[in-house]
Amino acid sequence: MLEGEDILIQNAQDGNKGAFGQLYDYYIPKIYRYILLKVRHKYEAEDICHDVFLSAWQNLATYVSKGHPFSSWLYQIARNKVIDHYRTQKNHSSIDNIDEQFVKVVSTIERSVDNALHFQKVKTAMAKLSADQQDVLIMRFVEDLSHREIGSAIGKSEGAVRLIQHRALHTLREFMEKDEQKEA
Amino acid sequence: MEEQILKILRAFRGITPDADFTARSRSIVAGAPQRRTIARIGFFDSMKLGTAMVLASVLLFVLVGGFSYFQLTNTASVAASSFDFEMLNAEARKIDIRIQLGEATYFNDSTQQMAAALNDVSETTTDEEIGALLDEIVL
Repeated sequence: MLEGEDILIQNAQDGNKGAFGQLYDYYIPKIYRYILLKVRHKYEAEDICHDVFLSAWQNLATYVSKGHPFSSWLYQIARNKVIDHYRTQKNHSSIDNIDEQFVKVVSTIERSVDNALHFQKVKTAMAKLSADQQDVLIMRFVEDLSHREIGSAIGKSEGAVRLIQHRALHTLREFMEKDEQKEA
Repeated sequence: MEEQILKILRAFRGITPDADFTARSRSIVAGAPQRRTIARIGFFDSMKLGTAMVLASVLLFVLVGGFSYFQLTNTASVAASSFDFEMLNAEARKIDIRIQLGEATYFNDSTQQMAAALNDVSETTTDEEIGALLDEIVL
């Protein structure tokens, strides 16, 4: 959570673009990562990410705190935008195709290209999970959100989030072990 | 295996969007209009809105009230000019005469009907029966 976030949100709701700009700068890496790990291509992630923040700015007046963090509200928007994206997508490319752009992106954080391919395998395996399972793994282990924040974002209780997390890791492990056996 | 998966997931934190994309997207978003709801108008704006509505209501009331008063006074003056008391008395007298004439016609008609009825009765009834009938009428 950004320091002084409540005041920034209030100012942004009153039309202060500078205040929203600070929120934008803080949250765009998180929302971008979340979307990138759920879609197939980097350019799709950029388009959807832009739509998320445009929608957030235009509809900021509808945001009411009431114990729900601002990040949860952004993740909700991002989640819905990804669902809409897949609903309207005409070209259903195979999820097994390696996204070269994604490999380039992760190569910046891992020097070895081989490790980047491992990243791609994890991403491909995650695509086989349910939407809730993907969301929980990304929000918990990539973005380090609490179970309560995750529950607020996906509309589940904390207990349900923990259960989803456990099953998601178990299923993801099974997928990756099967893939390794195929390669071997 | 699970540890390796978690390690890779945590490593994804290093992913950031391109600087060019971020700058371009930020400027487009900042230039877009913001949808404002009534709830976000603010206290002072709502005071202005309330004051404006009250003044508009008062103005409307004055206009409607003034128009109605104007109409009423005009109608009253027109009505007053037509009040000719002598004519009214003549009218009233005419009405009296008409009522009296109407009553007389009614009485004449009803008398004729009674006479006819009595003739019928006298032909078919006795004096005693006639007397009883007359007693009933009187009583």
